[in-house]
Formats: sequence, structure tokens, C-alpha cells
Amino acid sequence: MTKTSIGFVLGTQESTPLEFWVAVSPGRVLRLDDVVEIQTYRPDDRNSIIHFYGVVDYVRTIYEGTQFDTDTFLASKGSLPVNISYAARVQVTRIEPEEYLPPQPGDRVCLAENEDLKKALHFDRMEKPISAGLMRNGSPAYFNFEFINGEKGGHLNISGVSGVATKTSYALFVLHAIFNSAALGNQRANTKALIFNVKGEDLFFLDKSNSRLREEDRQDYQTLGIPIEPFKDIRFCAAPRKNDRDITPHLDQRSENISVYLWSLRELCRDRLFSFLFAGDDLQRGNLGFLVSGVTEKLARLARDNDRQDKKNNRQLGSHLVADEAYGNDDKSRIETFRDLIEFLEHKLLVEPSDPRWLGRNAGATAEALIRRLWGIASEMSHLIRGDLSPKEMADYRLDPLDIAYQLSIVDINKLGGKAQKFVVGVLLQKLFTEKEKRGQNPIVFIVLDELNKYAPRDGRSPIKDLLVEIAERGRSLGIILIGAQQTASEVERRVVGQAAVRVVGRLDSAEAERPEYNFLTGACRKRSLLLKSGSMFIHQPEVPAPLLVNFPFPAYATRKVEASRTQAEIEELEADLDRF
Amino acid sequence: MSENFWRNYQIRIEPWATEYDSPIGITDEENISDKPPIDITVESKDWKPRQPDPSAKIPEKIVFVDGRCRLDSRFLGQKDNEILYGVFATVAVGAVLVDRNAQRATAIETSVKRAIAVGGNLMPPVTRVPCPLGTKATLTYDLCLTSSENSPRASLSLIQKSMLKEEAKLAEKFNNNSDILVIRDGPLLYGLYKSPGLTMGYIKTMGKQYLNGDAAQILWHLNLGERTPIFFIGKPKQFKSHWSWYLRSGEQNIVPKNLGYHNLHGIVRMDLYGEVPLAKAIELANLSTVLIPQYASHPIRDPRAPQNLTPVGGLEKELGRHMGDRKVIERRLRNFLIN
Repeated sequence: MTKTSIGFVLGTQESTPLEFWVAVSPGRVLRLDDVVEIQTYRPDDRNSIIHFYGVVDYVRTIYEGTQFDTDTFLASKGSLPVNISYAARVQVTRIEPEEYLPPQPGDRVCLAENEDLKKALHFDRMEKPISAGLMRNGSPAYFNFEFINGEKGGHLNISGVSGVATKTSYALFVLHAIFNSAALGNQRANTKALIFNVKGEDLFFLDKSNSRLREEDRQDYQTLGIPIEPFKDIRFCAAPRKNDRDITPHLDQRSENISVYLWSLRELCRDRLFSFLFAGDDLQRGNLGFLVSGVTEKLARLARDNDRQDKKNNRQLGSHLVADEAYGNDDKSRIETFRDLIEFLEHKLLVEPSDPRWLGRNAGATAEALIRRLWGIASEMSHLIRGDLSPKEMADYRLDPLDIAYQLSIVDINKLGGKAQKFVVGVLLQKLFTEKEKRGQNPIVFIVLDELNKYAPRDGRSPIKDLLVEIAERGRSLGIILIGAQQTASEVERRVVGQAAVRVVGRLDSAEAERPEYNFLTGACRKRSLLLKSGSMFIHQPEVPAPLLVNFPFPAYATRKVEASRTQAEIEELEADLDRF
Repeated sequence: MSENFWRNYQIRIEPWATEYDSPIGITDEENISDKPPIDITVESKDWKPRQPDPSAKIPEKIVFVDGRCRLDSRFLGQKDNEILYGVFATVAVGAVLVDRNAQRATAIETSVKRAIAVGGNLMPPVTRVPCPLGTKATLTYDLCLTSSENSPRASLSLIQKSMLKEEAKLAEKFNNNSDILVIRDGPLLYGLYKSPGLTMGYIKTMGKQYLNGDAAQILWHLNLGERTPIFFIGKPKQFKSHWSWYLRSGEQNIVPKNLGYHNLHGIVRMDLYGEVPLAKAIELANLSTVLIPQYASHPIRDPRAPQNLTPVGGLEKELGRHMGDRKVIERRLRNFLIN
């Protein structure tokens, strides 16, 4: 294989083992992100060849032989002879064998292609490569799956401006690549993903092929070795419509094959999910946190008593709670709605004489604050937490991301209010976490969550933030992998972002790009991150010392309703309709 | 073989650094025989400044030829009881091709020769100076020169002559192409290598006064772009004769007086071989009035402005780069002679 010679190591700038300059030969091109290879000899041993591999991170041309800026006018007028010096700076990514001596000025520089390219970017050492996109030179880039799945490292974090950075699209691309990769081995069928749909209903067509895929896009998939097909075995879940007697999914663009998710009052209390109703600053003020944990315990005990009662009477476990004493204006004993629950707590905490076992040593004002907050979220939350459904119905609305039948669960939270969103995310993750603690690392579950800054903000504490930190720190060993995204990593809890082994950056805004969270980007990459087009990302992983710019192909699955191709059945149905006319 | 030469004559580098010397400082014009007859009536009887001719058609391609020589090191040796004088020098010549259509100036045909000149008819051998490890460049002095005279000045003169010869050789390369106007930086010489017919010589220093008395007065009053009428140097139809004229180069908005220069600042002399027909000489003289100021340099860029032409200034820099660093070369020579 002949190598493409591109120039020589520059002698007028320092060459170091980690960085050197290349004088580009006339008629040759070296661009940012191009990968080069050079061979140098040990000066004391002409037989020992040392290979340097590196990525171009800076290129420039300049008139040589000019002294003043205005010499440029003379040169372009044609009266001053000048040379154009075309030079590129290379960040070394690998030295083979590891002899940290500088390359010699005048050493020949070649483009790294094929095997050299893989060596330069350490792809050759990856036992479990996952496609990460296409580099600018058209070759595929890879992630080492061992740094995603928790073996050596885990989690993936994506930052970038909304709309341009295509964070969700990239997360989907990576998931698609993972699901279709040989790296999963026999775990392939088992691996699961839980995606939270936070914007629009774009993720509700992932099971359809993309009708707008062009021929060149197909070529990209071929290069990447990823099949052109939509996601399979998806379960689409949505919250029920509010104030609707029938339980129907709250979605506008798709109606078929959608399941509704909600939780029973009994489950809320039994599994100690009560505290997820309080998000943000709520639990930081005064003694509210203390009171909430006391109440959570009391409700859990009540739920267990109810369960015991149901079992004793050979009934299926109900969704409602039965209060230990009559409460409210009309002396109810069953707690069947969220509002009932609030009234019950009012009765226990506020109505004189309050129950000292429930209130504990808390002041009346704290109890008032708790009740006030619960009323505040009642309308947001009451359609999600139900006590009026039969055990059989409840089973239908149970959302279990580990369900054998599905690989991918898409949960819409876009139609929910802010507090309800946090509740849904918190409850789903909490339940998953508890379940995985029991089951162990396999199957691996990927969680795709955008707007991490909302769920795990840098400042303050909340149950969901604690949970995300826990997932970031311990999820690796439990097989929970967080593919998190946010506009600004600087606003997200450091431990959540910092634990991600693989970092991805799309277009950033200029103030954000200067933050220390993006230190893994070199100076030039930071500047370029302000200019990235949609579909281009910088990826950084522990094994590859330089950030790589990749493009990912146009999705093979529909990401909007207009892109969704009709299935064969739908086409036949349409044709039948036409025939009838 | 070559080592013996250096050993036998006990040759050592002259300890005084060459910086204390002026660079090879023999003015070109001193080589021309003294006091040739001058005829100032060849173009017109009326000795008055000639206006610049805006209608002159400037050729699309112009080649400026120039050379540089540099003393790398002087050396002294001993032959019997006599002191031997010699120098190591680097001679570089090159050209700038100005393509007025493409608005591009390119340095072309640059060549560098390393020369050794020794007096006393003692031909020095081709000498390869060893280079330190790690570099692939070679340093070979293969232009070997000698003359009967044995003096420090004689060896310098040898170097100078060899450079002029190289320049003339280079100018000849462009002679075949009638579209190209060749301008040599320096006077036109007669010798072993004569520049081709229509080559113009461009003399930027007033090394010698050709005009006397009233005729010289006119030089002080030339305006920008104006020239003297053509005058003839030498005897008609005789060897070593020239057409010549003076003109004022420079830029419109630069007044020599304001910069503290004397009034002859910007006056340059042009040179043509005597065998060029007078009509052609007049045509070229008119052309020069438009052409030369266009390529005049600016005092900010070049201390020799406006006389030193911009393309030539660029070429000199380029040649300087090709010559290599003098200090490095001198150090290597010293090492070579020690060993």
C-alpha cells in the first residue's frame, strides 16, 4: 500500500513528542482533523523506526518573505515575489513504540489511511468497537463499548445548544449503533433502553423507516456497517389525558400501539415514592424534608397493612388505600384519588387534634407547607396517581423498562407539567434502580434523558438529583447507563457529567464553550464548537487523546411524522380505499 | 586529496569576524575602463528633461535578474614564505518573473554556488565540508577560482566576477523569448558572458559620474518619471559601448527633501548595449520612464528606496534564504580547518 506523502516536519517551529508542525508540500492539502503518520529514526540507531500518529488541530498559510502587512498588496499586485507557506500543527495521538523523542525536522509526513488511521486513533485496540459516526475524511469513527457499558467506564454525556446540536438525534444514532453491533454478543436481545421524550412527539415514529433517506445516506450506513432499518420492539408510552373518564394516551400525532403509564396510590406509598412529589428547593426549606420522610414512612406502613389485609381476604392487591380512620368532611375511609390522599394527610397533620405519630415533632407551619405544596401539584399529578382502577387495569398501565417483550421504551413526558415530569422521571428511575440492585448488571439498560440541568442541577438538592448522582456513580456496576444530554454542562451537577466516560459536544454557545467542563476540547476545538453545523459533533473518549469531529448519518428511522414511511399493511389499506372509490 | 591542500598550506580562518569587513564592496562600475568618451547629442541636440511617456506599452512579462555574493569566511595560508589570501564565499543568482497579466511575481531559477578563491595561481580543490550528524544537507565548495594576484582584494574580485558571470548566464536564458523584457540589476558588462541584446541594465548607485558640467545640472531638476535624453558611452561601433540615460524613480507623494535626502535621491541610470539600434533604445528608454517607478520600493520597506526595485528586494531576500546562515557555515569551516 502506497502512502500519500503530504509534506515534511517543519524545522522552523519546535517539534516535540506531543506536538509538531508540518510544512505542507505544494499542491497538497491538510485540513483540520486530518490524521497523519510519520516515521522517524532514533538518531543513534538507524534501524529502529518510530511511528508517530497525530491529528491536525491547526492549519495556516502565510506569505513568506514579507516584512510588512502591506507587502501583501505588493505581492498581489505582482511586484514582490513571495512564497506561500502552508503549515499545519499536529497533536500526537500515539507513538509506536513508545519512545518519547521528538520527530526530526524534514521527516516525511503521510496521510494516515486505513490501518494507519485505525492505529492513529487507537481503533485497532478496541475489542468492542461501536460506530460513532463518520469522520471528515469519510472513514468511520468508533467508540470503545467497554467505556460505555460499564466494563471500564460508563455513561455518555452530550452537550450542545438546543435545535442545532442534535443531541437527541445523536443519542438515538448511538443507541441504534449499539443495538446493531456485534459488541453486545449474546446480550444483544436483552439490552434495553429507556428514552424520555421531552420535546414534541418526534420519537414516536422510531419504529417506521425514514422515507426521506437518500442514496448517499445509504452509502454512509454501508460504510458504518449499520443496517438501514428502524428500531424494533419498541414500547411507546404516554401519560393519560387529564380529566378524561376513559384512560387514553395524551398524544396528538400517533394513536396506535400506545400504552398509558400511571401509578396506583398504593404503589406510591408502598415503594416510598412519595418524596418524588417534592422537587427542586422544596425539601431544602425548613423542616419540610424531615416531615416528608416521616410521612413517607407512615404511608408505606399503611400501604403494607392494606396489602396484608387484601392478601388475608384473598383479594388482588388494590390500587387504593384504606385509611386507618375516617377522614375528611364526609368521613371517608377509602383513599382513591390524589385529592383524597391530600385530604387524608390534612386530617392527620392539620385537623385538630393532629396525629402526633404522623406529625412527629414538626411545627404546624411545616405541616401546612407540606399540604400547601401537595395542593399546588394536585391538578398536575392527579391523573398519574390513581386509586380508582381495578388491579387488572393497573397491570396494563404498569411501565417496566425491563419487560422482556420490548427492547426500547419511549416515555413521553412532554405533555406534563414541570413537577410531574420530575416525578415521572424520578419514579421510573428509582424503580429501575431498585430492580437492578436485585437483578445485577445484566441486562444493561440505557437511559436517554435530555435536559439533565433540570433533573440534576448543579445547585440544590432533590430526591431525583440524588438518584441521578447515584446512577452516575454506581450505575456502571448495576448495568444502568445514562446517556444524558443538556444544553449547558456547566449547569449540571459535576458528579453526573464528570462520571461520563464518553463526552460528546455539539454546537455550543460562546460563553459556555469557555467553561472548564469542556477542558477535554483543545483550544481550537472549542472555537470550532461555536461553528458546528447540525449533525456534527466532537466526541471524546478515554482511549483517544484527541477529540474527533464526526458526522452521523441521516436517521434510517423516522424522527418526524412526515418522514414515516407507510407499512405494507397501510399501503394495502389505502389502495383498497382507492379501489372502493 | 583535498585535505592535503588545506594541510600543506596551513590554512586557517582569518580570526576577525567578517562582520568587521564591508561586504564584498567593489562597485560594479569601477570595472569599466576609466573616462570613456560621452556623446550627449545622440537622441537630440536639445539637452532637456524628457517627459514620461504614458503611451509606452509595458510587456506582459518582465524578468529581473540579480545576484548576491557573500563572504563566508576569509582565510590565510602559508606558501613558502609568502602569505596566501583566500576566501570562502557563497554566490547566489536568481530572477523574478513578473507576470503582469496574472499579477504575480515569482522567484525563479535561483541557484547557489559555494566558491573558494585563492590568489597566487593556486587552484583550490573541490572541498566537501562535513556536516554535523542529523542533517541531510551537504556543504560542498565546488566553484574553485584563482588568479595570479595574491591579495585579499583579488580573491574578492574573483568572487564578484563569478557572480556577474552567473547573472549574465541566467539573463541569457530568457533571451530567446521576445515577449520577456529582461532587466539586470547592475551595469551591463562586456566579458566572457555578455547579456543578450535587449537586456536593460539598471544601476541604482551613482558610482561614477558620466555627465559633467551643464549636462549634469539637469539631474538635479528631473521630476518623477522624467529622464535625460539618451547619451552614448564609448566610441561608436566599438567594443564596450553603451546607450545610457538617467531617470528619476520614486513615488509621487514622497518628496526626498522632506525625508532629508539630497536632490539626487531617486536618480537611477539605465544601460543598454551599444549595438542596439537607436530607435529601439529610445523606445526602451520611454518604456523605462513608466516601468521603473512602478516597481520602485518605498522607504518604509527598504532603506535603498526608491532605487532598489521591489521585485529585486524580494529576490535578494529569497537568495539570502537559499544561501543559508553565514554563522553556521563559518563555524563548520572553522571546524573543518581545525581538523
